[in-house]
Amino acid sequence: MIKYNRFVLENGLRVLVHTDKTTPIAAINVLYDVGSRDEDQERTGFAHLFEHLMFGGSANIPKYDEPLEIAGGENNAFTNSDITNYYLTLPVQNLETGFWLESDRMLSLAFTEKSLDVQRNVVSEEFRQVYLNQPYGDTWLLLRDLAYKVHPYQWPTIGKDISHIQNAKMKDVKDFFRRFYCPNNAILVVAGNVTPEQVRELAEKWFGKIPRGPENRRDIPQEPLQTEARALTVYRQVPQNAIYKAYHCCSRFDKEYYTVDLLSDALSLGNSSRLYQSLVKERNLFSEINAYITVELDNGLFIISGRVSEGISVEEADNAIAAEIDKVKGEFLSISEMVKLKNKVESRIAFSNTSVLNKAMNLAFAELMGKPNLVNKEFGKYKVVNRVDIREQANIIFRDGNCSTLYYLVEQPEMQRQKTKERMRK
Amino acid sequence: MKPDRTKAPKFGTIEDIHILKPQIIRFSNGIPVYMIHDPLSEVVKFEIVFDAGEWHQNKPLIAKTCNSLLQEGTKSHDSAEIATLIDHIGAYSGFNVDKDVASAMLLCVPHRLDQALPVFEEIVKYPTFPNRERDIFLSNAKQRHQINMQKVKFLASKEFFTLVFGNNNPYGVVANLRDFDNVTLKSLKDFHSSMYSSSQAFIILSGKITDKMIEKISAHFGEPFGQKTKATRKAEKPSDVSGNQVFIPVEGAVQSAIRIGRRMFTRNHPDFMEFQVLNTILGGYFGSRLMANIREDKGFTYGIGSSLSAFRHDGAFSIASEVGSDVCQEAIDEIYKEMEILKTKLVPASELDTVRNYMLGTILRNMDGALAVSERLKSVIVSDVTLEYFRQLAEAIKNIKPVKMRELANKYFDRKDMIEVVAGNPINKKKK
Repeated sequence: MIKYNRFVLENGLRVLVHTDKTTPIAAINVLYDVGSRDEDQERTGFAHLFEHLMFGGSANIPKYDEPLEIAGGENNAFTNSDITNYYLTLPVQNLETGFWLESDRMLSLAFTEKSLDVQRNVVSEEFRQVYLNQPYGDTWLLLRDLAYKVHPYQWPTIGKDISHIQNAKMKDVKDFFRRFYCPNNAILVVAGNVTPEQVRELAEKWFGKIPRGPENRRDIPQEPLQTEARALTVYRQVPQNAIYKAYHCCSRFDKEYYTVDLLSDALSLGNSSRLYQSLVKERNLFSEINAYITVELDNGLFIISGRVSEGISVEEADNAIAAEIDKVKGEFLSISEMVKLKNKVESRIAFSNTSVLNKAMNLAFAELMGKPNLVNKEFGKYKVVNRVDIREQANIIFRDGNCSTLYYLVEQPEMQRQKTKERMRK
Repeated sequence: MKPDRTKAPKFGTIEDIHILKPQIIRFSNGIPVYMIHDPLSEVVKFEIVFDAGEWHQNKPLIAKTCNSLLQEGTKSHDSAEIATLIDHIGAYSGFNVDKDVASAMLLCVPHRLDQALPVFEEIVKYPTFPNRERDIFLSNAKQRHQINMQKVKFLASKEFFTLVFGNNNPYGVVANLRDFDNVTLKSLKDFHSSMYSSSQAFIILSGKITDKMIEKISAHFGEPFGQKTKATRKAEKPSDVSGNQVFIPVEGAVQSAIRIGRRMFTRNHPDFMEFQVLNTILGGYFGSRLMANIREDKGFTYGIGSSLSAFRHDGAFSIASEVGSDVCQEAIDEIYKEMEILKTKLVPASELDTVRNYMLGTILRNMDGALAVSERLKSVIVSDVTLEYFRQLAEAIKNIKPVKMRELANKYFDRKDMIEVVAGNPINKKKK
């Protein structure tokens, strides 16, 4: 049980406080309601580039990290398709340092050309390190582009193309800040050995006078129903063939979410899961296989991906996945399988609440969904899912026409590069 | 209330580091059980650790394969049954091998631990290493290895540790492709019976602990098992390879991986704690000199860091980064430049203050909660020190002097002692 207090400042900043008297550490989490889905398709990768710029100095503080480190703290941030999340932990007696730092960069950034220039390079290196210079590194660039034709989820958080980052202009950056980095578009969570009164006082003092910004009204084009199967084959210098299948499914908000999550667990969570037992262990068709949902605030994807064992044809491997899918569409899961899935969820939720930082993040995300008490209610929602629901969702999701399949294959030496390019253009 | 934003709020230095003290009992077979109890926790973690790390193997992959196959078949359950038993109670099992030790871990909600213990006892004591499971594991591991061999950072790191410790030292030996075809049933069984023994094990229990739980664990792990003789393997001298520079060509790579460093020492060495501070200044935190220069000033990389790896019998210092191929040589020059500055100029008091507080904060953070303490505890037990080590480290950090930093930099940052490995695109290799 995570107890919390919640209040809203006049400028619209939502604040949540969780008291945990057992720890000497406090966590501050600031979530901004902006992700790569809010980007213009000609300027992708911006939300994430911006995350980097937030460390480049603010109105009154030339360097973000130094004052935090000297107060014994540490921080990081991440961006995904829906949110940009900043977090820090520090000894609780130095809590105010965190308020000073976070409020100053919400108030205004320094916006120097040097900082923009350096971070453009750093992010370009990140692009190269994670997406280009890594076997299978460009999978998500290919798969998202195949699965989405309209919705901005069609590009990954790093961006569609490295040139978008390299061409980022100071004006674009400033506009982005004014639009999204304002108190009414943010959620502040403080967790640790703190009192709600103390946090309210600090929040009023440091964040209270930051002016409200424009309302963040989204007009994101939603992805139309996919009715025809899509396929893409690419050849790369990789040691093993791989298959990725992406099916459109519900969003994190939908009531079906819990059912779909359990369906993915049945297929691949733990060594007793269906795909692992059947395709990796019994038949040895794959060296590894996974099924999971992308957990997004607009409709997400149900992914099944696997690396095909040596000597097995991709078609045979793909057919074997299809056969497993047909089973969950046709038959109910067993009763003991249902018990297992729910026990697993119970443990997973307990494990995710073992540190103040995790608790702060979970609270922030639940508040973003408009239901902070979800952190305490989630297990109940999983508990009521039954076998009929799961089979129903399997039939809704696993339709051939709803699927985008990527074959990521080993490039044969005699194969010509030109051929690869032609295939990719489709 | 109008805050003064131009000045940092008052902050305190960390004076007292409170560390949850483990309670220690011994089972009748001599296994020490360390317990870190947190009554508010909703989980419990049980971990049994053996002297069964890579140090103890005669051939590559034995320690790893043995540990990974523990849950793939026992005298009364096959792999699928074990998986179902563990998953059914919502538990997560974890098997981990490092240079010195190997462990089997179980994480679950407290009231279900006793249901997992019977099968977990079999996993630890009576694995059968079925041929089929071994083949699947090794062929999958081999395929992962082939993927890794395409990553510049893996290639650079593999070569680096081989050069630091030498080919005849288990810390320096890394598996090659053909090793995956040479793991025999006999070698696994021999390794298991001599290493997974109650005479060289310890248990760490953390989270919510009850007396009943301890009784149950004792019933399953309190009697002697495995061979009685303690494994002894003397530390071997590394071959003399200092000063080596190696370039590994990787066609088409858009980044180069850099590893620069040298052989160092264990946690018991008199310079160990103070060198940790020097390491932090150079590359051990976000504000470090390497990050400030090579990422934040020049934008050559997404990340650069330095670290001290402390094993039971040896240690290594290394700097690691992946940089744009075209700026690789410049990045290397800057790395040596930063080491040179530490050798000649005293670290300013303000920087030392930052590092001091940052490190003390890190100790505090790393000790946050019973499960976190259990991780730290495991690492110190392996190094034959106690949690007291962290209090001593905190004292050393508080009392560090700039002169000492310069002295250590001169002692350990001599360029001729450094091993330098680069894996990257040969097109970008600068002609000397």
